[in-house]
Amino acid sequence: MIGLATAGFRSSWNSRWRSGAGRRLATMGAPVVGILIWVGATPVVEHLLRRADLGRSGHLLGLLSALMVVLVAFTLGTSVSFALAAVYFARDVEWLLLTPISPRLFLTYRLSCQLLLGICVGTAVGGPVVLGAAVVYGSPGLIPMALVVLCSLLVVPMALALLAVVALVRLVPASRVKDAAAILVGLVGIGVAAVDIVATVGSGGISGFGIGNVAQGIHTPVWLPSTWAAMSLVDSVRSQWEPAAFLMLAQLVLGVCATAGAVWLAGPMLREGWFRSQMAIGRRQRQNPRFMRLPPALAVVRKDWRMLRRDPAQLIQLLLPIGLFAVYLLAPRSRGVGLGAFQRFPIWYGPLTTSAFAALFAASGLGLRAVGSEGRQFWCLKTAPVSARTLLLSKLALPALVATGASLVLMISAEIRVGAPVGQMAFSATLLVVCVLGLSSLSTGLGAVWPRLDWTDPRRAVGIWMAILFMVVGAAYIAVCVVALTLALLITSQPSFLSEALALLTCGLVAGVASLAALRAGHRNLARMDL
Amino acid sequence: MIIGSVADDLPTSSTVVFEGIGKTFEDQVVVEQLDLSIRPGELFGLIGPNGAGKTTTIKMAVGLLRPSTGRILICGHDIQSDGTAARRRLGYVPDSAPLYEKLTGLEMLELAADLHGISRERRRRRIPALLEALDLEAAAGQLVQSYSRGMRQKLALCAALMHDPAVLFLDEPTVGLDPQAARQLKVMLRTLCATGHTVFLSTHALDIASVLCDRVGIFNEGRLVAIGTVPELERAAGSGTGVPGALESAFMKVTGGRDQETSWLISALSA
Repeated sequence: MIGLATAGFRSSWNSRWRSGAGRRLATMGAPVVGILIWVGATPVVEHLLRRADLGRSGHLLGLLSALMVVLVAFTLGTSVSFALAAVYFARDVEWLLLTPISPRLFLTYRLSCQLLLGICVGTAVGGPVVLGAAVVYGSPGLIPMALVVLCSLLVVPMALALLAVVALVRLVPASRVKDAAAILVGLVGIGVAAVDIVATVGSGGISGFGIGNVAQGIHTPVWLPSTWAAMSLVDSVRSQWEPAAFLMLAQLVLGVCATAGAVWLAGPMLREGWFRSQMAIGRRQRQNPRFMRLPPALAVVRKDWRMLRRDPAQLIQLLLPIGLFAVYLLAPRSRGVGLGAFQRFPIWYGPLTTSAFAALFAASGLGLRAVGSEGRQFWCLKTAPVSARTLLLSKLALPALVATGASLVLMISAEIRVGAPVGQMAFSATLLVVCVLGLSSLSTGLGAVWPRLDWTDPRRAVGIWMAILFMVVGAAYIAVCVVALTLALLITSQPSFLSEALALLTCGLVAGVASLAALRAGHRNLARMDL
Repeated sequence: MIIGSVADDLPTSSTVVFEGIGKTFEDQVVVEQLDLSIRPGELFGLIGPNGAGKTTTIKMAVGLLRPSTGRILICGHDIQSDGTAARRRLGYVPDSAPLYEKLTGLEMLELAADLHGISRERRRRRIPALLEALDLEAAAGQLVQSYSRGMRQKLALCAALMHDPAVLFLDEPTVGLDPQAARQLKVMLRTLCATGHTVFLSTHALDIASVLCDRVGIFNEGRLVAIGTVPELERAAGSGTGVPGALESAFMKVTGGRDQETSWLISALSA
């Protein structure tokens, strides 16, 4: 186990420190940026917590209970794909299974890696919240308590997902399980969001993602481990350490037992399932050679489209956020996007900004991974007589089409619901197209600057930090577009031709600058890339 | 030790020209001062120990790596500054060719045809002919993810030959091929050279090199240490010409490999 962990650490270190100056810089810079974000975010969180005044135990317990349920569900969903990738599709699996390492040890190692990854991501994202809470409630012990409680809680869905995957793959090939899991997670995600939003709005709560219910406090059953975790944290906040420690211990015992049990049961099933996963699935496609000739750029777009639609897991990853936004915008009796806040602005203002954020996810899902999705097959395009410029533009086409199409459909549907005039719809559609084209160019260009070509799962064609970085950059881009748009509209007291023309011009300018910069950087890297 | 002529003159009719080529990866010299020219219709084999720099050389020739020094001309076009024109004239099959898993064999070939601007009529003739030549007709409609290693290698070769390139670069082309397919490949390569095409291949299989290649270059530690026809190399190394294993002996002498001496291996294994 120590040998595996050492090898894993060395591999990870080498990939970050000995893979070129760029990676080294990123490795040194990322913690610095992370710490700066922490330092900046913690006071903000403190301020928000003080204003929210969640110290009343009823509300705090309700909020934490709901949060724990969401975390467990999210972890369960993501753990299925992690388990599949780590146990069946990773490149070192074959080699490791041929060594004297027992399957149980191998599974324990993978589970540990997942937990460690979860701790890192959780610390990065949730660290300021825990720190802020510790300061606000004067309870420094909350920090280690939160770490132990959350690890013990979340290792349970990880272990259960691992066991479920290994058991399933014993019967069904791993690639089919991957596709089915992706579709299921996607449908469940959209379904839960739809029910939650409709129920919340129906009961007169605040529109959107169950915020109203949460604010009133959800009381989850006491026997749920997620409730124990919430109760433990609440007791920590109130400095009631004995009950907090007792619940933490219970959580810890449950986590250890779940892990040990899952590994024990899954171990004997692993090899047989792995052999099954090696079975090639020779799905026969329709043989209808038309021998049509396409220009190289369109040929690449067609190839990318075929690759995407034949991979349900990738499709779901792309469609899920768009589906969630669609539910949010179009839920029955929903006020849509809280238009009351935007009375001063044209009727399309709210739908446009929301649809732009939907496009952000589409751009991230397609544009950011456009070059990276080539993977080790990139030699096919790099050795073809196609210039780097043509290649980059062909990679931009699909993300631009999909992001623009999806966001346009969302926005126009929302505007039809609120009765926007046709002229306003046409204008807002033009604005959205300009904004989303800029976003797509930004994502494709950035994806070409730092492509990740050594993946074994195409959904991992973008590293998690790159995805987070793009979300920040993309959100900032949308924010700049919205600010520019808002200022242009505020120049006149009423929406008019002048203000709308100015809005279009400013959006175009922002989109143009962002596109040019990102695409130029991407082109430079593509032209000079060594494979 | 150099056997035979290494630095040829650079005839203007050469299909492939390496001029002062070098490649360094983070202070490690992987290829050093390579000067080489390949004539039209020649089948040139590059052999060498693992890590000698053969794959790096081929990758530089097809434009996947940028040389640190020098330039490479493909039919007179610099692969770096005039890459599009150069790549129009070359075909490449890498070692263990990774292919698009979610495309069928037919779709892969159509993609190759589109990328090289092959007309509809021409691909209508060429695709079925290539599939038939390499026994891939039955599998053409299946996704590449269901192909065996040998089938992928054959498909990659079909894609490389789609546009009838003047120069074909092959990195370990016989790995993964069954004996019948390997024989088909040898016949195909000789036919290509007979019709004026140039083939540049790297291989560990010395029997392939000795039977197939017009000239052989021996690479060691980033340098081309010997070049010549197989009889020339065998004679110069004192191995005897045409004797089984003669090229292998010549290879061992030139690269400093341990020939016939296994006691070191036995003592290493029992340590």
